[in-house]
Amino acid sequence: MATSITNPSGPTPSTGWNLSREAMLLVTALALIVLFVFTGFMTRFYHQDERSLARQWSAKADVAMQSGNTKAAIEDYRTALIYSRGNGETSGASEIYELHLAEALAASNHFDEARAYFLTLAEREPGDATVNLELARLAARSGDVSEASRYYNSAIFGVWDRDPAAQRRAARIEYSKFLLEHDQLAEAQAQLIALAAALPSATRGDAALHVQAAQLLMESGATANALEEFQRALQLDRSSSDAARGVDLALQRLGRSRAGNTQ
Amino acid sequence: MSEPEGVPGGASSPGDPRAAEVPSSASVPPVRRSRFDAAIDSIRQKIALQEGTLFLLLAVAIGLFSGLAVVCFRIAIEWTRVGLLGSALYPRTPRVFLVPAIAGLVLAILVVKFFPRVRGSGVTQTKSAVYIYDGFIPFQTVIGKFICCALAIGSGQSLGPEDPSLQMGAGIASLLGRKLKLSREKVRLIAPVGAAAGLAAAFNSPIAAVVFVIEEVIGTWSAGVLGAIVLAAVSSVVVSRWFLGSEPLFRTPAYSLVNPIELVSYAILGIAGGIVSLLFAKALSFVRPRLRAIGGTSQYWLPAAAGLVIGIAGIWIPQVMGAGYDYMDQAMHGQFVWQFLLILAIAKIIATTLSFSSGAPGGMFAPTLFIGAMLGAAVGGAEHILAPNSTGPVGAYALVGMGTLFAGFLRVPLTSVFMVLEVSGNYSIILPVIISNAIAYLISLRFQETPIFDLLSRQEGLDLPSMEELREGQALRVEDAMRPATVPVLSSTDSIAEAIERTQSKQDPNSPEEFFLVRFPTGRWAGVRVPALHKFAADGHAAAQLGDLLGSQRLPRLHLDQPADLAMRLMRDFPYLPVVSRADALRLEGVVSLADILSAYLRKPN
Repeated sequence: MATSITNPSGPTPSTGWNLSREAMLLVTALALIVLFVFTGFMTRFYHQDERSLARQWSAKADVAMQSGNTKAAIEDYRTALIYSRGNGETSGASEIYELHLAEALAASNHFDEARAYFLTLAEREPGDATVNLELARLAARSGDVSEASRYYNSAIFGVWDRDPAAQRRAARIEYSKFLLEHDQLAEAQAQLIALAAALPSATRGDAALHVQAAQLLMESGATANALEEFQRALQLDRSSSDAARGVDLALQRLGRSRAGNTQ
Repeated sequence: MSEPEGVPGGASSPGDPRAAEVPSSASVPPVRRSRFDAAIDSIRQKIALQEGTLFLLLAVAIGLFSGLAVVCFRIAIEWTRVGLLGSALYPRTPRVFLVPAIAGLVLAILVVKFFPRVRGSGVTQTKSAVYIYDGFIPFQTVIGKFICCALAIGSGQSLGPEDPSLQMGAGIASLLGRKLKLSREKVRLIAPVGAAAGLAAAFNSPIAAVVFVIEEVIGTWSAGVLGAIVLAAVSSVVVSRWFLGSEPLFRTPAYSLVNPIELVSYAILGIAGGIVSLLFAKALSFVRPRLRAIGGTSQYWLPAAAGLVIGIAGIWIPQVMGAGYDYMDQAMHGQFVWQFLLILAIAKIIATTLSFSSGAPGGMFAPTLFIGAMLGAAVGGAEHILAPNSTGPVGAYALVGMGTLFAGFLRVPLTSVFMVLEVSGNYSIILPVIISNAIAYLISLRFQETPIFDLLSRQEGLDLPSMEELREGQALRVEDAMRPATVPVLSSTDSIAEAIERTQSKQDPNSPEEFFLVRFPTGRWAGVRVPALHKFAADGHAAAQLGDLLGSQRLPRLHLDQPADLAMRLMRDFPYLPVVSRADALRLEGVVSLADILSAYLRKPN
């Protein structure tokens, strides 16, 4: 007989009860229930532990991030991410840690790795506007206009957690600036006209938004649309010097005077 | 391979450790049976399950038990790790080299004094239970594996939890099978059922676990056990996901094959994987026997020494400690540069070889995945530098690399493909996986004669059947033994007189009984001997049709592709059997006799 060094004497019998098969089935079922309950308690404590560790490490990472220590923040977010996985937390904490980690990586110029994390997040939540915006920024940084446009559009039309109108507006402005930088004037004009149409005109404070849109429209060459926006800004805030200067500049470019225009 | 005394087939000897487990009806004293007892027996008989049904029911129970055990095991590993090494991703310096060494010492005492059977590969031990010990795995081994492996992996030894999980599942199954008094045959089959359950829960991938057990433990797709294995694997994964969630082991990045030219890179990964698999296998086959041969008190200090080396390495490269799943995840997301990834792969080979060879209990699945992930990510990273326009993410290469090492090192090509598919949940990756795995497997097959599991079992003095030989071995087929039919074939519509005339001058020299085949228009074949023909004629049936006189006699017919051993079994006392076409049962391809088969076996080189 071949003998095993790890098993030199061969198997030995287990001593135990000699119950009938039916009784043994009953014992098995009971043991299963007991083990189920025991595992349930163990898992509960385990998940509590893991959640607590994840929160601790995430808080530590937030502090490091705020103090500008991105290297430490990355390591701490990674640790938080490890403890947040499969710990029964339903609030999406794991995704938040992953997003923070990706943002920290992007902030410390680890673009490839950041992109990999953002892509994983985007695959899980394709409509997440924040993730799409970050991916758009990474694509913009690498000069990939078509990929950046795709992600910017996904961000603009994606789901924002807080103040969606303002977030969409900011994303569209960022996208328009990117397009202007890459001489995509027609597309930039289209974005800015859409932006202008959606701008609020309720309070005096909204005038600044119209001025910003108008200035970008001027840059894109849509002077007539820019003029309209400057004038709307002036209507909201008569004291806006930026709007007044913008009107003059637009009229000048259009070859008209303010007096003639008002007539 | 010789069998131990009192094992399969024979009555157990007095010294057989399993004898105490076998109930002996002969030893039960006669008891006066009351009516009450009779009634109880009657109820019992009514509710009694047939063994086949019980086996399937038991498979579910085994799956549930194994799933629960694996959940507790994973939690135990994690608590041990946090308790000993701290909760930080990279353990702090004093702990990082002290803990593995001190834990190694404790581990050695536990193993030597209390659980001597927990050393070595769980796969090998499960196979030895199936092929040597009638499916017997002492429950003490399950407890030992749980405690010792949790301590070993949690303290940073470079080992994984899957192999011990597999053996724990097999041990639980063995215990339940014995306690429920299953037949010897079923108890032998039940260990692989538990093994599949344990592995499925550990990997969170039921298909890969089922395929692995079929591929490496049983070796054949037996319908009798497949259903039970699937049931057990699914039940254990359900339990595992219930308690630990359904998240896969890794967060795999999105992948789609944009340009088929990238498959070349995956082929290169296959070559690299094959070479690294060889390196790993050679390292284990060189180091392990030498460490085991030291003898004396080495079994006490070897795990501690291995722990010390790993701990010192862990100061600079903590990634090599433990199972390393978190670092695989980071490699998938492109955290490391390709040069560092290569260093990690080589360091892990050294660390795992030391840990495993030192006798520290634990498995090699996770380290294999780790090495594969690092190698894959390194190839992917290098490819991105050489071809900046390539679109395949580094994570995809890491994922494919895992499968590649599985195929090359563990030599389980099918499991490797299913595992990557299950882990990634992405079907697009199948082409790269198949290409890379096939190349690595072929390289390993060519340059590493003995598969790793066979190597480990031989190092332990066990001569277990090689599943690879079973798969790759060429069986003798009917076509290898067949010869052309040299005698005329009679028709069932021939009269007896015609048949006698046709047979008179044409007798098969290999057929002293003067045996002739008879073909029926329906595709049925029969046989008749010349003396029988003469008897029919003497009885006045000379004008009668041969088919009518042969009645329902039927000769087994064979096909070219059927195994020769089937032909031998069907041969009985027929001098030879017809070999007919599968497309046309009337077309005779040739005949085959027992002598033909035997001479074919003698001719065939093995």
